[in-house]
Amino acid sequence: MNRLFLRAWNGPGLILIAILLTSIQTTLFTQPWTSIIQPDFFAFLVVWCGMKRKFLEGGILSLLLGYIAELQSSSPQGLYMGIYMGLFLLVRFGNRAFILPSFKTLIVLSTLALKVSLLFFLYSLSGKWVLGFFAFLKHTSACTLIHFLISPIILKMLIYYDRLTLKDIQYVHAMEEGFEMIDEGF
Amino acid sequence: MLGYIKEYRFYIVLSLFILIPIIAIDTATRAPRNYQWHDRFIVQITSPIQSAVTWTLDTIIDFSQKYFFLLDVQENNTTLTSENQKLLNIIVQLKEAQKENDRLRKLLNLKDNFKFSGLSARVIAKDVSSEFRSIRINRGEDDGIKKDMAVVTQEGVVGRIYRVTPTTSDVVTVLDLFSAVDSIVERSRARGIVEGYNDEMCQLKFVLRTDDIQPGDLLISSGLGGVFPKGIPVGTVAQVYRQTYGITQNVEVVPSVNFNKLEEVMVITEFTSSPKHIELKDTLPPSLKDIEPSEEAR
Repeated sequence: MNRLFLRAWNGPGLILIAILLTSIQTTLFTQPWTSIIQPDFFAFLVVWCGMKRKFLEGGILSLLLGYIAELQSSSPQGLYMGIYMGLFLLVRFGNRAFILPSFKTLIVLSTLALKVSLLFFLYSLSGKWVLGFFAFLKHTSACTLIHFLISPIILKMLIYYDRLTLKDIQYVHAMEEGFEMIDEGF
Repeated sequence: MLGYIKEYRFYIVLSLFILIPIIAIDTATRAPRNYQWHDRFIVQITSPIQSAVTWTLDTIIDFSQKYFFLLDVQENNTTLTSENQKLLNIIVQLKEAQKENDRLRKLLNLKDNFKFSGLSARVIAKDVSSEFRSIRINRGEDDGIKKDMAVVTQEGVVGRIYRVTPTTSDVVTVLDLFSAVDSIVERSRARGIVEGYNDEMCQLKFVLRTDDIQPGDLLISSGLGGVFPKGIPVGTVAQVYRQTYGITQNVEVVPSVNFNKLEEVMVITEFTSSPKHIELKDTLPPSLKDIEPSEEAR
């Protein structure tokens, strides 16, 4: 019963984590010098959903994350839903079609895809390029670097969260085997 | 039927996942929506956290600044004392100018072109993405704030309210890609629309190629649209790109407001932009007041 409750809590809990992270993202990086290194915590969660969740569950979570992002932004409605859904599908496809070595690699590739798609989305909606070429390069490389640097911390946090809510099947199996071995006297 | 759905379940879900954002974008472009109850619920959760983080950061920065200030307080004291003497002299001169100004104003019996009542608010958060440039303030419906109210500082136009909750409001700044402020060049009265461009610049659009615009010109709000009172500074012309062909020219504008240091803003809740009726009689010398105008003059 307890196990079922914890697993059911995983999805809503992830949304609450997203809300907490977005509050930090929108307040901690308001200073002029921090603006360029503002990370996109939603991207991490979407990549995580693409890697570790089932198609339906991950897709719904990605849509909800996009919806929360739009509430904290002046972006047109549906923009982040579309971008995060695209990212989710890309990660799922990439994860199956290619052998991607690590979460870090996925994050770097996703950040680049996110920035480029956002640029083109905005161009198609407003008819103007938001940034010049060099400004775009500066923003994208700074954001990618930050994502690369903080990805191990976020990964650890997400792994811990999945273990805590018993969503990590391999961990649960290992734990059960451990209990069995203790019962058997090892 | 059920078997069919089961067989193609993946493709059905995939199509739904792609369709939902597209429908959301389509409906948004037709009629931009305000916060719904579920949106408000999420914003109500985030805004106290945002306020708390902002307050903590401010306190830390304030404390550290005060500490560093104390380190060289002695040196600053002597500098400030001499500076104070200079400022006192300037104040005396300014008082004289103020008196002269008041006298002239009384002579002409002119009043301010616009008067407004406003609410001060504190910026508690910025946009989740660096591509969009909205801010969140700590005043909402409970304080009488409504959608499309103008937000300004003493420097000029900040933006307009575009979403409200009972305790917070979102402001789309003039730097935002989707903002538009009808403006006029103060010197030549050329008209155009100031749109957001990037973190530091705006663009003046739809301005005729033949219009007289030069770098350094001040842009003020035109008062059209009913959001901003007429005459509030919007920005200064930085660059003018005039081609030998076409009907418009490209103008880059630096906003009057320094968005990097934006902490407090004022929301204009009520204003009158039409100039007050001037009683010519009051400006005339007393000896001429009683003279009735002739029929021709009428």
